[in-house]
Amino acid sequence: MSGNVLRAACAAFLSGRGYAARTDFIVPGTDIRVDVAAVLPRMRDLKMRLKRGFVPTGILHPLIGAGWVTVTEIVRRTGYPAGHVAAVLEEAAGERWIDLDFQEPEPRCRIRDYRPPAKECLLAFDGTERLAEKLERLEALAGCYSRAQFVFPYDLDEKTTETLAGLGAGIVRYHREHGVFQELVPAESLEIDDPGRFALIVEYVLYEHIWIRTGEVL
Amino acid sequence: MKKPRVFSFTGKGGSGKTTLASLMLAALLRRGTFRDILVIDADPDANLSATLGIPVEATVGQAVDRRRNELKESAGRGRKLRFSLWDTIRHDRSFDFLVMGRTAGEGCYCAVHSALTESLLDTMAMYDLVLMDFGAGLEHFSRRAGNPSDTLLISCDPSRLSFDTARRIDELVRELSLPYERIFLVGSRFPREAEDLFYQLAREAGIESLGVIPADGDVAARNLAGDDLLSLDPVNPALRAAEGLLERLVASGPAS
Ligand SMILES: Nc1ncnc2c1ncn2[C@@H]1O[C@H](COP(=O)(O)OP(=O)(O)O)[C@@H](O)[C@H]1O
Ligand SMILES: [Mg+2]
Repeated sequence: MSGNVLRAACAAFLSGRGYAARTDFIVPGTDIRVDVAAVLPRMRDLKMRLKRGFVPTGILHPLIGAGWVTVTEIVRRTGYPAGHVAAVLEEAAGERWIDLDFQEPEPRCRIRDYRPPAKECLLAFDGTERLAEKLERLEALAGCYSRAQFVFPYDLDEKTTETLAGLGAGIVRYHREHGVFQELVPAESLEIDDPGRFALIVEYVLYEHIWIRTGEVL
Repeated sequence: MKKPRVFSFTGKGGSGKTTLASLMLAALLRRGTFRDILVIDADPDANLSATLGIPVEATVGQAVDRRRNELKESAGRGRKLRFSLWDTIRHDRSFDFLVMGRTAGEGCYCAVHSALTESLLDTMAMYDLVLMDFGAGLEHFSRRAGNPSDTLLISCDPSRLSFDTARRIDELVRELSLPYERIFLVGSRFPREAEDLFYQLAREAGIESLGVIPADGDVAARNLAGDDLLSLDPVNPALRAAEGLLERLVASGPAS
């Protein structure tokens, strides 16, 4: 079975269960690719975004959980040109997502009581190819997701099972002929200690998801 | 994958479903185990809003009717059902609240209704716990749609009739193979001296009993005065009893 089919099936399964899912998701600002990123929205914060718009976390993520941050630091952390950063910050200040302070020697800003619009961010990987590399990607994303799971369309050997379970990752057996995803080892629930990048992922995935939902007929 | 716990409340009209649901919510909020809680009033004769102290501004029924009209008369322009369902949810400080209400086209199985079911399921998935107050009627059960629940609580007051109703609900659930993991009987408004009788009648009905909420003067008085049940004195015996029921439910429940 191609990895493409596996990823699509996995995303379809999760989005049928209230998740906003995205296959082949490149975490913004990095070159890290996640096979399926799935986000479970939180109603209050989702509704707030439907009214006020989504938070431009591509630029604002360094502010989340951080207090005052200088504009120079934001430019450095996000890698965007200074002019673009300044424009986004001014707009975000206008929408009251952030406070801007033009102090000397350099301006700084801070985010106003930010809450991510999601309860959980689940990362799923097709375990059949380049498993070691995917484990590295996962490690690079430590602290910014709630659970991780690896999906296999066949029974997994004991050694790999132990390795994955030892890392707290879940193992899911996909029965292609029946369209069933069977959770063999439940994924451990992890602390979010990189709230900025967690926010970055969930705002992106949710934004795209909501955009599709607006195209519903009924 | 996260799955919400769903507690549904049913039973004969006037048997104490709404009171039980409200007391359970009060107990849940004090306990603090669940972070995101959605309370759904699915009884067409809605009265949860009074016991929770939240005025009803809009119902799902109204949203469905509005959408159906828009589809008929203005080629579907207007707010999509999913979004107006979300608009209908009220946000209290510590829980969210949704009133189903009635639709003009009762009993209709049209596309709008199936879209509603779909959106409702997605919406419920966003919560850690959903409490649903059903009407007395069994039509919810035969309708089946949008009704995933792990636990069904049937309220019984001290009357023969309410045990008969409980038995009929239990039979119907079995007949239709509805996906409840657990069904419990709860005694509502029982005087202390009649509690043994409740357990005996529950055994005769063949339904596992969860416990009893005693008849309580303050609960009754608040109903008359139109006051909510969320601000009861923490030592109120009915509230304490609800805490006991909750303890048993959560301790024996499927892992969330
Ligand atoms: N434990 C109790 N103690 C005192 N009065 C109660 C108790 N439970 C219910 N009642 C009263 O019984 C009446 C019906 O209860 P309610 O919860 O509205 O029933 P239902 O929702 O099943 O129609 C209300 O007046 C309510 O205040
Ligand atoms: Mg009621």
